[in-house]
Amino acid sequence: MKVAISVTKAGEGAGLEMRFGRCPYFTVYNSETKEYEWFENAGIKAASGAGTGAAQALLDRGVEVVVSGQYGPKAAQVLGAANIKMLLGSPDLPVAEVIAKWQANELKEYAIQKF
Amino acid sequence: MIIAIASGKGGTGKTTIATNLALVAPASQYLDCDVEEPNGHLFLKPDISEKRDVTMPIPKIDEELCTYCGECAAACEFNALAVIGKKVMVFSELCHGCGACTFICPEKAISETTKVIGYLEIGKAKAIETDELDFVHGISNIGNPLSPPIIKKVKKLVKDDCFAILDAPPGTSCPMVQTLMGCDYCLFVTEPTPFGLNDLVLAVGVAHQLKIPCGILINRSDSGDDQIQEYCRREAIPILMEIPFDRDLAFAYSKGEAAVIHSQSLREGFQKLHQRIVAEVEK
Repeated sequence: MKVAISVTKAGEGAGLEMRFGRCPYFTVYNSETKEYEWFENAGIKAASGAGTGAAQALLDRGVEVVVSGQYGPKAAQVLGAANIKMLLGSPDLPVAEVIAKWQANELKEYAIQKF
Repeated sequence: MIIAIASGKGGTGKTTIATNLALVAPASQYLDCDVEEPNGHLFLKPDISEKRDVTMPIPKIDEELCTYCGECAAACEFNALAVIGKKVMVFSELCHGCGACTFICPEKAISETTKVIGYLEIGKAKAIETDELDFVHGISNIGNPLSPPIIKKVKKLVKDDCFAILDAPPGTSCPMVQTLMGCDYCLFVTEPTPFGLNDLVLAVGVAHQLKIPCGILINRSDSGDDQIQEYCRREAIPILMEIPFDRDLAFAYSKGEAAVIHSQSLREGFQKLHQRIVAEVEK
């Protein structure tokens, strides 16, 4: 299973970034191979639709679970429609700890806000 | 002749100047391009004779033809489309109506439908010396984030033989640029404060970039400092009028009344302003 985390930077020392659509990087952890893939979030430079763009990028990579600090209404709509599990983590939590908490089922699920 | 009344900083008196100028200038037409917050009608009190919807094209997906290849979402500069498995989501509030998705779709599964984003109101207002002046304003629907398409439609109603006054939105972003484009002249209304100057410099930068000649009107000119005058001297930008603070003018404004109706001296001042603008354009 692939888990995406919005992160503050790529690689060593990266922690959880609170913003989903406007985070600088994403990492995708593959629980079968135990490998991390890191990539820049194109949404950080987008004039609009950062959340929908980021959600689409994760869907295209076959992600099934996302961990972030907060989800915008449009990003949540896209992820929700794709049945992606949206989880919440605390700011700057190191990536390895985010994964450990996910595996221990300790992360709270994001409730979609109705606007 | 098309004149934009702009400012940079908000609240300097664009609408006060634009409406008063419209009331005294012969054969004038007033067009409120501040479609997110039009307020010229409060002072001109026009009789509206016509209302027109402003629409924008947005994509419509034919699910019979769609293969969910995702090319439309990839082509969209504004991330207004998302393809999720066997579903295409269209976020019309993000769409700019550019048509890229319709163009790129290999299955011709996208057609365009329209979405109403605002409307225009057209009418006549009573002028002072001449009988009537043409009135147009655009109004953006609540929640619509895209005002330039409405401003474009307002500007389509400019009459060639008129002294057309475009009341611009504040700032220096797309709506203001959209208003200024194609104008013969831009009058910047400012106030003698550091904030007024800061935003004026940015706004003048837009006019230079668009190669539109401009002049300055200093409102509440007896307050603040003389940095605006120094800036205009340095940049060789003409100051066309200065209006000192006047309690009676503020009182009339608060009641939605145009200053030129009450004050003979202001009426003459605005007539002179009109002549100076015409002279500047014909230079």
